Amino acid sequence: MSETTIAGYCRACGKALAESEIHRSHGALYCKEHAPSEGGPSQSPYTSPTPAFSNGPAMSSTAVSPGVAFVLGLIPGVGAIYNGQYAKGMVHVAAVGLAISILNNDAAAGYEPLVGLMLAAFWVYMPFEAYHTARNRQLGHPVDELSSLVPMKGSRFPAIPVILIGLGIVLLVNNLGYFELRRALRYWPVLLIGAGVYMLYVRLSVPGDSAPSGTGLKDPEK
Amino acid sequence: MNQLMRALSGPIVLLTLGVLLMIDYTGSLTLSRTWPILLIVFGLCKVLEYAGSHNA
Repeated sequence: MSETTIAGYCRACGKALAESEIHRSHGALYCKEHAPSEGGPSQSPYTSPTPAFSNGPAMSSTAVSPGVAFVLGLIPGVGAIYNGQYAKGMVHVAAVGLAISILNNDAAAGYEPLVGLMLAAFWVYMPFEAYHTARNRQLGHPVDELSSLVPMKGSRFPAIPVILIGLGIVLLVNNLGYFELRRALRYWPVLLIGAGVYMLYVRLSVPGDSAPSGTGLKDPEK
Repeated sequence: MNQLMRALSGPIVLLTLGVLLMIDYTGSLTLSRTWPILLIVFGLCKVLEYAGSHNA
């Protein structure tokens, strides 16, 4: 029996480590062999803002295969399950199932091509997403449970949840018969006007000669 | 607060789904009309997560 006290165990291989042998990375302990190298910026788009909820060990061993993740990603949900993101797997299955039942059900009367195209695009997206998540896990970056599904980078305003709420309200009002979406959609050019006004606002509020040059609005040489 | 909301997001959505199905069963308000409420609830949970992590 060794005289040195065990201070921890390697996350990747389970070897008992003395205090001096511990390599820390992303809140986990590794032995010298398996300590993940700082391969890229630690703030990758897939990194969770609260590491307490990172799902699964940040494995730097070859147990994670991005190729297998890609192939498994062709089956809805299985790609995410391979990466240990079970909630995301369920979301994928629900999305695909929903699209198929909408196509089957005549519920999207007239919108079948759109739903069909979106289903195809989603099916292409799934394996690539599984591949990238597996790559990040392989490099040792901690990966969120719902990575790339609901991105909320720290201090920025959560645009996507707000959009989701707005969409839900609009659809609900439409479904309950209070205000038909069809009537509002006649005014779609208002969106163009709104986008233009927003772009104007952005360009005019940047002071000095650091204003970004837009389409044809270049500052003349002084 | 942030982590509490993250943990509660799933159960809350499931709860609303159950409530909507119950209302479907006992009334004339079918799920196929009220489903956007799920979107609203999910968005609200995410907004509360963001709000919880930005105190002070």
